[in-house]
Amino acid sequence: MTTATLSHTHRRHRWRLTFQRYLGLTLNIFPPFIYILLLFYVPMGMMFLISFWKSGYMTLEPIFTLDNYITFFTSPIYLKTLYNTFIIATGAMILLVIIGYPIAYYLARMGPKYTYLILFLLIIPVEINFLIRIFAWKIALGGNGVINSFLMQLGVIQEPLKFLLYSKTAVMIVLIHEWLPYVVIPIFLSLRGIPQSVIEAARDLGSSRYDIFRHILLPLSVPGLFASMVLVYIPMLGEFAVPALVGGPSGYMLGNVIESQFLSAGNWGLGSAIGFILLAITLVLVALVIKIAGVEELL
Amino acid sequence: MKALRTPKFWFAFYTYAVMAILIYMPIVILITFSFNDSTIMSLPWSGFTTKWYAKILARPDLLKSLWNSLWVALIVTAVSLVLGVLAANAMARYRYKGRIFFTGYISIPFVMPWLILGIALLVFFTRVGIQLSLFTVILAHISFDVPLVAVLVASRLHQFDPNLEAAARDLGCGPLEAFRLVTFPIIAPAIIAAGILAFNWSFDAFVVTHFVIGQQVTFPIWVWSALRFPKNLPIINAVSSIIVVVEMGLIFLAEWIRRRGAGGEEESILF
Repeated sequence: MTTATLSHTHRRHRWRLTFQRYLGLTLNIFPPFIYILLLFYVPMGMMFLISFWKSGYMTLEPIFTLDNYITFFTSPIYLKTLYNTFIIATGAMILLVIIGYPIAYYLARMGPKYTYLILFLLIIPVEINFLIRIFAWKIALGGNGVINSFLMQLGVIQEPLKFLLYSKTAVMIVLIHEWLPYVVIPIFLSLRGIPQSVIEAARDLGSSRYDIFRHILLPLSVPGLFASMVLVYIPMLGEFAVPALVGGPSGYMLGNVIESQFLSAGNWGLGSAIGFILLAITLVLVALVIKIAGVEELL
Repeated sequence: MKALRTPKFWFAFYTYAVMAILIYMPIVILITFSFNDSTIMSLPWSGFTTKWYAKILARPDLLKSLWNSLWVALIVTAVSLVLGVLAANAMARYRYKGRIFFTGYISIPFVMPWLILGIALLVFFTRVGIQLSLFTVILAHISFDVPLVAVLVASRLHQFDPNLEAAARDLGCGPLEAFRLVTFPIIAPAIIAAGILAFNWSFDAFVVTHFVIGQQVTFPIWVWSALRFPKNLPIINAVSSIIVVVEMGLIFLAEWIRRRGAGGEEESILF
């Protein structure tokens, strides 16, 4: 055999490999690409489209109109619900950070023996059917529920605490239960990423425990804080099962309005429009957080 | 002894207290009251019984819903694993223009609120003229499980040395053979863990299912409608307790498999 034929075979072998590589890439990309296109992007596009269609009770006509958006922004009830949604989600978010930060701090900076076991125990309940967990809270919080009957037997209270169930408080308690792990973990990860040498340097230079927290740990954990806010705040704005089960009339949220437009009021155009308003608010918030977090990193 | 109560002690105390009250209390109450001999779930305790567990078997609607959830979740998991692993391959094993775009394209459904996905799919199925049924539920669940599998498997593939597969190819393996003999054994733990999570997501999915199911019933839909009737509550309680125990078992299994595969070095699949 001559060198010429060898290199020829070699070239053909390489060409075949390149060809197979492109074929492989194509076969890997297309099935998921098409599926997600047809069952995610096309439906999202359709929903956006019909939010501009003339729509009423059980009727939907392909005539362009802004009525659905106008209806939302001129109705005091919808705007009140938007406000409620904002208050509940923001209140729960603030409480989540206040409750979750010390836990993340403890796990990341105080060297407990079983860090990962504790994190794991924190995260397991997330995988339990969510409706079941909301139902469990209903048993706990109800007028003759476990917390009330326990407190009354102890003699701490005479009457059941009415505000525990069917209220904004109840929605917030369940949301905090649901999202606490998602707040703790990003903050934990960013706090753990801070090198010990930085802390020791500060200590050597005479910083107090408080100074170290205020000037090193807190600023450096800001990215984790923002990550947890994106992760948690967005789904909380779109919540509907929690307010439907434990919220009562005062805990009604935008998600409930959207659900009822689709499944009972039959006004799909309006429902889609409210869905997109929710989505738009969400996207603005994400953009804002990214912008602020980006600026923060520059400082 | 009092002098030993350092800040660390108080932080630990606080962490355990929050976990006990906010995370575990409702679950413990749920399981405890599934053995309570009363339809009213409040103290005082009315006596121990296992009759609610026995009554599960006398509810064909409940058993049917569990059966539906089970086979829906199995089909969803199988299809999602195939599509998700393909997507993960394209996200992590090839270098090409548009890789970042493709990664974002697959990941966006992952962060979309489920309520929005649910109504969008309801609009889609109705406009296209596909009758709502368990079939549309399967289609809907796949569209949120594929991104889940893709993200989890891609993160494992990123740690995989592509030269290993190239070496197998140089030594004469075909592309499928190289995948089967080299790549697959390495990513298998991630695939199994992703499969268990995908199954869990489908089995538990309420929000999306609520919109696309039509007249049929899966388990979360059964729970949702049963919650309106107080006499059902102890049975929901009992069946929920069983499912809590089974699901925790599955999560421990997934975690154990993943840790064995990763040599216990990286963090949990769950976060």
